[in-house]
Amino acid sequence: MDSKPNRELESGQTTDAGDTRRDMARKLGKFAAYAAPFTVLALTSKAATGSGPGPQIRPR
Amino acid sequence: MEGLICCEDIWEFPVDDFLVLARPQASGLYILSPSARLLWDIFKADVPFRELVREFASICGISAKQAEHDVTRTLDEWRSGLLSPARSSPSSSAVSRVVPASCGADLFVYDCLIQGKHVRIILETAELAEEIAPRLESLRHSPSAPDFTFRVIEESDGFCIFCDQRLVGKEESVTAARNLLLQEIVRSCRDRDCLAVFHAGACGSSSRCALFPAGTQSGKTTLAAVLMKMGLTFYSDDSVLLERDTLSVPTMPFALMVREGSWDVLSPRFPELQNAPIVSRYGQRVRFLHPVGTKQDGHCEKVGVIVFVRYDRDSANEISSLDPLQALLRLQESGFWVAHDEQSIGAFLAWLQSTRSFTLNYSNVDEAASIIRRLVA
Repeated sequence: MDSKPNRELESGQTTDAGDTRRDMARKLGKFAAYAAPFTVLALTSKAATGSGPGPQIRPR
Repeated sequence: MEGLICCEDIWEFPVDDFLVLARPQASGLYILSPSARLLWDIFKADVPFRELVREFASICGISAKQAEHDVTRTLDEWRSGLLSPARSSPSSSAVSRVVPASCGADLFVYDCLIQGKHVRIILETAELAEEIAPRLESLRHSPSAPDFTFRVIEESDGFCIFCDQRLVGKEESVTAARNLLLQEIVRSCRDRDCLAVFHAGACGSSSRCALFPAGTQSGKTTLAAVLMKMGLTFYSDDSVLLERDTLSVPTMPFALMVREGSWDVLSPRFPELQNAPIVSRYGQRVRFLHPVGTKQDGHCEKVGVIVFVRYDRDSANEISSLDPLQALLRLQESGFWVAHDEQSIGAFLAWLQSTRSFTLNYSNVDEAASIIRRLVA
């Protein structure tokens, strides 16, 4: 079922969507040096927008 | 995809080469790196896994084995988080409750003038009063008909904050209740909604300020005090509100809490600090310093620069620029809140993208303050 898209990819004849993604990647120049994907969940909370008790440091 | 929420039900916010996603029914922002964004774009097309891996490997120029590993790991993360069945609504806690009739006696009552409004603050317990009252001292005013009455009461599972008869929020700890109370006081007095709130300090002029986000006990208060002594206008040392539409920053006119480790640094600049009462707080000794030269009903028109500060005794006071992805990740570390609707998140990210960001690791607070002053000039 997925052999046709594979052949297209291997021959460089990608779908329009594939072309767009590849073009975007080239344009951004981000994948010359590959960086593994990561996803970070930023927990947005008002409780975290002010100081609480914690370890102390001593500015000079 | 069975049992998971659909990609179409997720808000997307492209920012430069990375992507931010949010679920309408759950607070929080999912920050996808550039390669994760690429993977998301392929994934959304609902292509078979093998094809997804091949396309990802092809575009990224990596082996199929590595691509399969990274794709599998990323999809597993998404299925257990981003795409998992909805959690509770971000706004479910603040509903139309009223102050309980059985609420205890008004043990601690403070009448204050804040942002030009008369505010009465009623705290139910001594613990709340010890945490909050010292910050209000310079704002005390003779009792008069209040424009707003805030009341904080303790329940078995946390602290409820009411404005007049309306519940504005509930927090688990005293410190979190104090954060929310002070933010809500300023927000109510100015009659402006917040687009975002940052765990940060802010100082500058009336037209531009520097926002310096950092985690708890990273030196924000000391830095804010030194900047204030340099002649910059103080806006906050702990929580910074970013107002909706105007993107302005209101003054948080509350006293700065100076921990013992900073007394030697600040006492020569603020002799009044030496005579300030010592308060024991969570096993630490602190003193409170009132803001000077601050327009208590003022605001700063815009954030000119964001500087992520970090005290490090071995640092050479180094500054370097950050791109929006790095800035967002640093905000995630220091703590922030953004209004959870599609328009607000988009506006917040556009603001972040258009605001210069730097990181500043410092060992000398005077040099750090000088750098920030130059950046905001």
